[in-house]
Amino acid sequence: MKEKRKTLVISITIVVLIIFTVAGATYAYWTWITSKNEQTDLILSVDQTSQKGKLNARINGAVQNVSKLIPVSSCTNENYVIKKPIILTYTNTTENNAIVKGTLTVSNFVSPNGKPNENALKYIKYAVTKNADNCTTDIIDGMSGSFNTTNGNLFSNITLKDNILEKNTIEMNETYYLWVWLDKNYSYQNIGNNETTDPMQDISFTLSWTGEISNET
Amino acid sequence: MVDKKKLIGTIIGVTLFGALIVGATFAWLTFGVEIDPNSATTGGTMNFSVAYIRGQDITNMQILGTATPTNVTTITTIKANKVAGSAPGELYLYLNTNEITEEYVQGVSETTLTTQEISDIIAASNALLTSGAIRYAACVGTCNSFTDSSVQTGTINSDSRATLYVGELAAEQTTYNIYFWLDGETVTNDHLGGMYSGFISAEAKQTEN
Repeated sequence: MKEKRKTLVISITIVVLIIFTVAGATYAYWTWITSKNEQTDLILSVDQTSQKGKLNARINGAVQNVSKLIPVSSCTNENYVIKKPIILTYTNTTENNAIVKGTLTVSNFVSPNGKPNENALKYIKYAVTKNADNCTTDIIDGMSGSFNTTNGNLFSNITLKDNILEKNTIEMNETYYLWVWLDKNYSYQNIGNNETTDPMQDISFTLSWTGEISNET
Repeated sequence: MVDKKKLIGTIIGVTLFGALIVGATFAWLTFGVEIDPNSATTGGTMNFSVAYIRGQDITNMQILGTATPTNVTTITTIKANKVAGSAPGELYLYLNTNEITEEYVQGVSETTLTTQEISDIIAASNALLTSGAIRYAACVGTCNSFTDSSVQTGTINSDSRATLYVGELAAEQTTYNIYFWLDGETVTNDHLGGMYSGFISAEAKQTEN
């Protein structure tokens, strides 16, 4: 009888243990979690550093020749032609070519003898070249033309053709030359002692650059 | 039970990471280019204007056998220079000849002239003009000698515009003396009573040097 009771107790205990074990399985077995110090943060930001490689560019200036424009037969007459060195410095350590677009904006335009009309302004020519000696050779494709007026403004922005920034390039410098001149075919006659009535004379202006870079399309 | 908070955090992280991978397959962003303020270009244009003071009118001319700066007294003095900020240029002094008409002859006469008298005066005037008797010399400043190479001399022998002087347009005020006389070797009786009428004008032409 005693033996039977032991067996019964054991059986009951085992049954109970089994029951408890099965019940525990609905919560967890033994578990473990990381402490706060052991957590890994994930931070996302949208900037260059999150991309593979580095891409930036800077348009630098250099001293230009001091000159004011008069009608000239050749834009190589540096006495009366604006010639401004422009230095483009860029880094492109990405694996793709990039494009830089420069825009030349005319501002601070002053014309003390009246507002020039479109037909007169078109005689102010410009070109961007790789050649330091001549404004008619090595012209960057698309980077030449005339001042003109659009949309009621004195000048339209001069948007220059995209320039390719070669991939895998570190601190590359490229020098360009901006030439601005007044074509000789512009003609005007002032009449009388110390008289200047030409709207195209005694004008002044500033040409400023803005630019953007993006991946090659 | 798995902590709900941790579960959500994990799910978010996975989503973002997936988005990063997906974003890398599209175009890069466009960035601005850094601009050095010294890259700006200042520009402008000059002007082309002349400060000019006309010379005194000439109402008579001497008849001289040999003309010199000393014995010629019919002189007109012109002053000219380019104004400040003006482009370079050349100065031209011209003599423009007027036609001697009946109206002009009668207008300058103190008495009423007959038709024949007017006709005779016109004929003599034309003969005087075409004879080459009218002479001139143009000097920068005072003439020392009409034979100097720097002196521009000439003869008026037609009604075409004559260039009395051409030279660089000076930056500072410069005096130009124009001497006129009638050459004694050329004047004849056919010229008696003849008249001359004209005016001096100036022009400047811009150059590139």
